[in-house]
Amino acid sequence: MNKTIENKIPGISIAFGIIIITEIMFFGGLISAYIVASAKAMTWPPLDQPRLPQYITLPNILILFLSGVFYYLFEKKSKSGIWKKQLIWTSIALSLVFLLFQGSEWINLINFGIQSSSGLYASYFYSLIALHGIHVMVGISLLIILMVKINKNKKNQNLMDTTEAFGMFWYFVVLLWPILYFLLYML
Amino acid sequence: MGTHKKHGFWHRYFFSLDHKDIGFQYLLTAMFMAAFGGFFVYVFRYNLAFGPSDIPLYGDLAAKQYNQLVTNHGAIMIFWVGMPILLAVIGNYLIPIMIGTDDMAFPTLNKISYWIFLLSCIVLLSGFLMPTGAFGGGWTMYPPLSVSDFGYNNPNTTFWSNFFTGNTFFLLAVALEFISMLMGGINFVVTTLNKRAKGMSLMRLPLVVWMVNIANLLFMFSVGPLIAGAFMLLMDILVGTGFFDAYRGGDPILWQHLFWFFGHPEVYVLLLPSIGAVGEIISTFSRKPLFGYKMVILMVIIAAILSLVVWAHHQFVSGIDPGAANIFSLLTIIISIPFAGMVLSYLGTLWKGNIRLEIPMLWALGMLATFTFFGGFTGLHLGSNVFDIYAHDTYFVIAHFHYTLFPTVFLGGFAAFYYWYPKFSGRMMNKTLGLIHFWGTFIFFNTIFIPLFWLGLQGQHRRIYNYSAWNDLLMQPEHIMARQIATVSLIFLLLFQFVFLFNFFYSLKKGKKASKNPWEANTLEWQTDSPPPHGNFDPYPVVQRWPYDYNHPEKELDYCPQTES
Ligand code: HEM
Ligand SMILES: [Cu+2]
Repeated sequence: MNKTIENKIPGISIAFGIIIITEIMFFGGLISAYIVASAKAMTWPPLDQPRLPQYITLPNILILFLSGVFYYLFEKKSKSGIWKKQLIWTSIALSLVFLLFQGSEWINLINFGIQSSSGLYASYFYSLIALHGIHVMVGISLLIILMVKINKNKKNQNLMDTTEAFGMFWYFVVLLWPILYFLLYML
Repeated sequence: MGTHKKHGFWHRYFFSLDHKDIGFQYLLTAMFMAAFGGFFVYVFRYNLAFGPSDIPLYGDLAAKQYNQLVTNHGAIMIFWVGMPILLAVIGNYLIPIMIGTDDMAFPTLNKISYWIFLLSCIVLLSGFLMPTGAFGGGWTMYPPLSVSDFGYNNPNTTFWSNFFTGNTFFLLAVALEFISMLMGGINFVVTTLNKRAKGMSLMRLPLVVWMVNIANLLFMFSVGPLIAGAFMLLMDILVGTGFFDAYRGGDPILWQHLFWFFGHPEVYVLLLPSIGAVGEIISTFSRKPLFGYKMVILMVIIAAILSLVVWAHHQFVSGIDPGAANIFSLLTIIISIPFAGMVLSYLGTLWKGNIRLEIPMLWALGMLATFTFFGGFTGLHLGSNVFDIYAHDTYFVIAHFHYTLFPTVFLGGFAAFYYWYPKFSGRMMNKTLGLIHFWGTFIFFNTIFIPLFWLGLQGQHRRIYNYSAWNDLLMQPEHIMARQIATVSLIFLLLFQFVFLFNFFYSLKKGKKASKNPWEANTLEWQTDSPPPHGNFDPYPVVQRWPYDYNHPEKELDYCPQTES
């Protein structure tokens, strides 16, 4: 066997750490572009654009946040060797609710007349919501992969590392949402 | 390591998970792309010197095709030749054998990264088959030019007709290439952190391993905003959003910020691995310890951080705030301090060394000299906004960045290639052919670009199909002559590459057998067989010292491998 040095941050955590840094820079680029655009405009949102449903969307923050909390609970239990699958299922279910909610709002708004080609405001709105939505979908896929892995073999060190690394990504997605909500709906 | 099976051709070139094979796949693919890049530049340079009709091997060149060739030449050389050779080939082939391990941390991911890279090549080249032709708006893809025919600007288009355009394919190809490099980069960093042999502390890592990793981290840190920008540009083309459309409140300059926030660090992403390889070579062939090893690493980290805050020096004439321009000028000029430190360290290594002028050393010295005196030095001039307002978008800029990129990608790349060739093929390259190749490339490289500096100062703008509109200014006999010197030199430079190709394949079969350590170097890859077996080492090395103990006072030989106590 290959003898290696005794460094023990698991590889998968380093990998996800790097991915998240890239993601932060990615959304950082989008968000700063959005902020500059809104600051340059005379009024924001522009007067001829319909207002967004601020309050109806509010509970959605809570839903996604709870999903993150359930994941956190799962991760904590897993450290002491208990793999509570129900917790992940709940987490997945909540994020699906979030997606459905946000997706239907998206479609309603299109019917309502906010077209992506109608201006900068709508362009940013749809892009940011869609990109976040894609990240939620990726996150859900990761959680499902995790479930499959748990069903195959329980209680090994690799699985714990995977749980931790996927968790980093999921928390990132969950915590990004309130920021986007504030910028898109409240500004 | 256990028994090592010999695999067939298909396995080796298509399905292997071995890092050495994947490195080789990247190398061949990049060479294939370089042939395209080289052919394109021949065609459009021929037009600039001798006119657009009857170009040998091509035919007539229309203005639109000229733009497409220029655009794709630049993109190919940076993203499909420079990046794969300097990051993927050096990283894949060298990291595991230099840190003393069997393979990458995630071999499957490594394989997938190569497949995505290959796909990106195919997508890029199929841009030429689209009904509207390949993308021709410059490798920097500035809007509004890059969207003007599509999306909102052209009501006759649909989503799909916008999709099947050179513009979309170009963007998708770049995106795929980035995904591939990100996967590779993650692999390199994790491998370096977690798979080092016993005793290989961070301060005993060979410089090139440090450099590849810093370059990768810099890439991953800076690429996000460009991906964001590319997404926005893609949406502008496909569905008619207005991010960069001034008419609908958007801002075309925003693209420039997002692009150059990545674009400037990107040039260091290419530079660092090359400079790292050159450092290894200079230390080996000077038979001296690398002077200021820790300082170089520190300087490079500082330069990498600074490179994130200099991007607007590409936009001095784009209408940015003059106050901001002064700050960016200052930062740009400051960034040359760490690079001066690095050059100093290499000169210190050469100083009173026992220099052996082997072929790799010639390339390394050529790289150092041209990069420093012409590339970096003219960068300083351009960094000053006072001068740049005059020089921007002229051939002076073209000459500047070719004096940085050509030494980085090709002179440094060939240095590395000639140096590690015995390791990866098990044979030595022919020395006479190597000499011919070096001098042919080096001399003609200079005679291409020195005239371009002069033409730039005369006011010759870049990205122009023919200069007859500036009859008094740029069509004087001396201008025509300068363009012709550059083009003829280019043709010679390209011809000399066939010497290399011949040497490459000929030596693979007929070259002299290489010993384990033909250059008498210290790093781990020279302590295993040439070529290394599957699994690389048997038994695995234990590292006792840093890699640059040449002419150590307590040792008899003038070198001392890292495994020796
Ligand atoms: C001392 C370091 C350097 C300084 C101060 C510097 C400065 C500059 C400046 C100010 C420009 C913009 C000129 C203009 O468009 O008007 C420029 C362009 C460029 N530089 Fe450098 N540079 C340096 C090193 C490098 C290196 C190491 C590379 C590549 C390995 C590089 C590659 C490029 C490229 C590709 C462009 C032109 C991009 C384009 O417009 O198409 N530079 N440089
Ligand atoms: Cu720059």
